[in-house]
Amino acid sequence: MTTAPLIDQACPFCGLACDDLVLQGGPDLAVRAGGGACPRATRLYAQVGATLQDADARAWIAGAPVPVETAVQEAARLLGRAQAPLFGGLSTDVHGMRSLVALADRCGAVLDHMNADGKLRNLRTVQDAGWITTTLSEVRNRADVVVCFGSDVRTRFPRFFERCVWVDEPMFAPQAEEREVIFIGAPPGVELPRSPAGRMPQVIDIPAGRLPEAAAMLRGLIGGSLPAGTATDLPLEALRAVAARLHAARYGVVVWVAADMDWPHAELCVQSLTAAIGVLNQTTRAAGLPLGGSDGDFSADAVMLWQTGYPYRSSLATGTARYEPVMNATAALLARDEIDFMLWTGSFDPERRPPDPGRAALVALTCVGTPLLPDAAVQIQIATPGVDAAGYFFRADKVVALPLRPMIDRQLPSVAQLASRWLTGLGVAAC
Amino acid sequence: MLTRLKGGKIYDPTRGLAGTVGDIYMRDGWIVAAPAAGTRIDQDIDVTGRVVMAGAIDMHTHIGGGKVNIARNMLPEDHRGDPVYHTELCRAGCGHVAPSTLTTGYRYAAMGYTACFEPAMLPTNARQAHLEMGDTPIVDKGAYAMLGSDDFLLRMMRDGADQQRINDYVAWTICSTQALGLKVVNPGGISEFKFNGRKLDLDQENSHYHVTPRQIVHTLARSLHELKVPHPLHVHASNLGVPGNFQTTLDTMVGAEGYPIHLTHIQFHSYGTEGDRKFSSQAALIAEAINRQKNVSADVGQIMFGQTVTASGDSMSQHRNAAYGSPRKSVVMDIECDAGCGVVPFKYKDKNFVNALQWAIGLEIFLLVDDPWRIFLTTDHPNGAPFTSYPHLIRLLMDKSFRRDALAQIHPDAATMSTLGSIDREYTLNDIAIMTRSAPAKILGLTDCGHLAPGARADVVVYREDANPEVMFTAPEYVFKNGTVVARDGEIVAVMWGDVHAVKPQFDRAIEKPLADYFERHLTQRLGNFRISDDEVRGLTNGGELRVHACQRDGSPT
Ligand code: SF4
Ligand SMILES: [Zn+2]
Repeated sequence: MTTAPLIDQACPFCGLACDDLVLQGGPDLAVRAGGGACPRATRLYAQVGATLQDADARAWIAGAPVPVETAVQEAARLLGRAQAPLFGGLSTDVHGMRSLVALADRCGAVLDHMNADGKLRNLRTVQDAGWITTTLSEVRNRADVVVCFGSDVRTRFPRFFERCVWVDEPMFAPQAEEREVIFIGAPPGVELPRSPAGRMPQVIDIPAGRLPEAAAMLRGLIGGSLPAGTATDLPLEALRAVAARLHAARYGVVVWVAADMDWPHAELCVQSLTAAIGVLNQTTRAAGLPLGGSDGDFSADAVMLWQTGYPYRSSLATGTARYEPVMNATAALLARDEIDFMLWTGSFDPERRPPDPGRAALVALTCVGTPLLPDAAVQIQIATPGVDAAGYFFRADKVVALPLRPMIDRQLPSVAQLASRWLTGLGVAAC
Repeated sequence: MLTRLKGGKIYDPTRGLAGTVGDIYMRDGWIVAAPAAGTRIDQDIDVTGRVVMAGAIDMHTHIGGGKVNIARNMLPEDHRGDPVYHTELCRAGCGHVAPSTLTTGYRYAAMGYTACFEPAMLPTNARQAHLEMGDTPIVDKGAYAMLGSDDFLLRMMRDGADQQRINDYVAWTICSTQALGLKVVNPGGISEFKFNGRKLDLDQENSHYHVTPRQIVHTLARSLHELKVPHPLHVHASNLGVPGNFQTTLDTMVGAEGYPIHLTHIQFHSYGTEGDRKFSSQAALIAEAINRQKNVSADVGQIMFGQTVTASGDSMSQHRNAAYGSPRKSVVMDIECDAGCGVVPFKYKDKNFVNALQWAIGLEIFLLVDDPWRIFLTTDHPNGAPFTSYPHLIRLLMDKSFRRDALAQIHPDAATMSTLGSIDREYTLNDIAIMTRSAPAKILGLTDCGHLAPGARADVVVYREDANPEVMFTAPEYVFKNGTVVARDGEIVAVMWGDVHAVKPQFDRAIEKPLADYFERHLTQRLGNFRISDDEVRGLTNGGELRVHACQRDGSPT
């Protein structure tokens, strides 16, 4: 559309949704050198924002290129005869999700997001006890101690420290070099971020598989009583010091990334952390920062909640919304062979692909850069919000919804356009 | 198309009609004057003997935005009990304490409400609030932006910025968030909580900025007055729910120094410390103060017994209240150097002394405030109870024997401590029409809603009169929105999309320079992405309009 540098565009490639990038529009969309982006954004803008030639295929049926319209109609046919549809992936923006939920309501689909496993670890905590949390700008301006638990954070949220910790003029917190960053149980072998002056963070190693114990221990230490039978081979004194440091902090922040807590009943680990934060708040201030939002997971979640009253992993099959987070997991539905159709949406990351659909007919809506999927009955390339579609994106703290603006035009359909076509095909108007 | 509602008993307090038999004409979505004799009437509906009112307006109901979604997230167990099935016309969803947006719109409309106003839109979360309101069908919407614990304002006040600059910032916030009004919540207190303060009295300085809640209320009330924003400052006063807080509430009224202010959910701010349990009603004092000070209005925030959820911007109070939650869980957030929020489920029990007295206090205030133009019917949905309890509340106000029977059911000590049993007043249909139609339209500056004169939107409700007002107000016979029948006898028969109401006070654009600088240096989004344009908000209404109301206020402070 334009070749002038584009400013203030929110980046949709992780939950941080940085909007300080400088992009270069058309024909390719690229981050301008020095324009603020991280390597992940640079790579994904190049891949997902790549130019398409007129001759390039944009849709396929059983692996053979077809005109987009033919694919749209074939997908409508498959959806029309589906008895038990699943809308999976759900990596899209607010507009895309609004139209998918409307469509799901009409055809009785289950909705599940590709990041739901991680989300559920947090959700179980919220539904069981709740928590005290904070947002990116509060961390930026207030946090004097930042404890990162079980994650290096930067792999999934590349600019977190740059934007929220090592900042020049925090309004209330100490200057960057005085801020304390402590990693508890970061994955081994990952380089941890240093401060601008090169200072290493404090690191407390936790053996693989022992993070839940470490979290319980930290919670006990903060509450002043260790659980009986506490393991003696974990770094008790180092954790004791962290507990003391958080008690003394004016505004301690505990960061975790539920996506990194990939073990059974990880919600218990989250609960240990949030319980510890609850205790800290009896005397000082502290807050959790459960980072997420990547692949549009918080955008999809927000829409599900307001349109149906429930989080995703809900089913609309009975004509109303039913929330069954275990039964409605994509992997579980596939393993039980309970679905015959899967509409899968992946807007932001070509590496995220649909699972093997088994006997279900797979209609895959994929971003540019995604290879041909051998299992897909129909595959349609879609516009990506923030690249060539307009939309809204809920950021990692679930509070700020940023506008995503189209910057190039590749004549690709948006998820919202496709879903409303199919909705009309079912004989009803969109919500 | 010309429609006539023939022969109804019209209650239109804006025009002084209280049961006057007459006809209402609607054409193309608007109320029109009686046409010349012989004009063809396309649709003639005989409503003889029926009560006809304008569509009801809920001026304080938490229908959209982050904290409502948090409540939905937290309470699947509550929603399971109230599934909502899709129909040919309507979307699936769920109801009870934090209904889905679709269900919210359908249920309000079916009850005869045609406009709902979200009272606590965090500026940084405004886009979400508009997205959710946009997906709320049938009813008109609007929101009050929240200021008063945001660091930009507190910095300005600390640095002694002149009132004109503050007015620019206030107006810029209202315009940038597409708001209809301005609310302050626990003035300075949400900020104080971030600095580990647990209480901030009216004359106590915020420990970082050294400004007091009294100064904040006064500054913002004056600002709206000078900007001529119709709706007075919407004040959620300090010390929510704290026994003895009636004094803070009385002092807050005085602190406005004659500038108009609206005190919200005043029931939660009318508590004394008398009696064995150190919790008592000061409703009489509060009502008397409202009666005396004509610059003050209030909505009640009546509680009803049963499960609900409290969702508030007042993170300080909600952190304190979390200990009383039922089920015992809570979410508290500090938000973007802008505000905060706290969500705590509550189960109000009639056999619990405090809850029972809260219930009585709300009703005492309703009945002791003389002027129905300055007291508004709310449960502070969902904080006191879900909005679906309004018909029951109306019956409590209109039927004193029903009220006395209810009083006999509550905790006996609470009943004894309340004067409710000795109050004979019964609200009339006209009083109800004032407090749910004419008065909200007037106080919000909506000239084309809340009445039935030619020029108003054709939002009209036809009720079958009933000895039991709860029956009458639960499922009106007809509800018209923009001239179309959207509900009949409690069933949705047509779905459409209401408008968004906003005001655009004028300000000096130069304020954007320090603001853009502040956003870049301290916040994590850019000013250009924070602002919501007219076109953007129109794009979120599913086809409804953006209705901008004039900024005009008469007279000087009283
Ligand atoms: S950190 Fe995330 S949002 Fe920011 S530029 Fe990198 S990928 Fe984009
Ligand atoms: Zn409220």
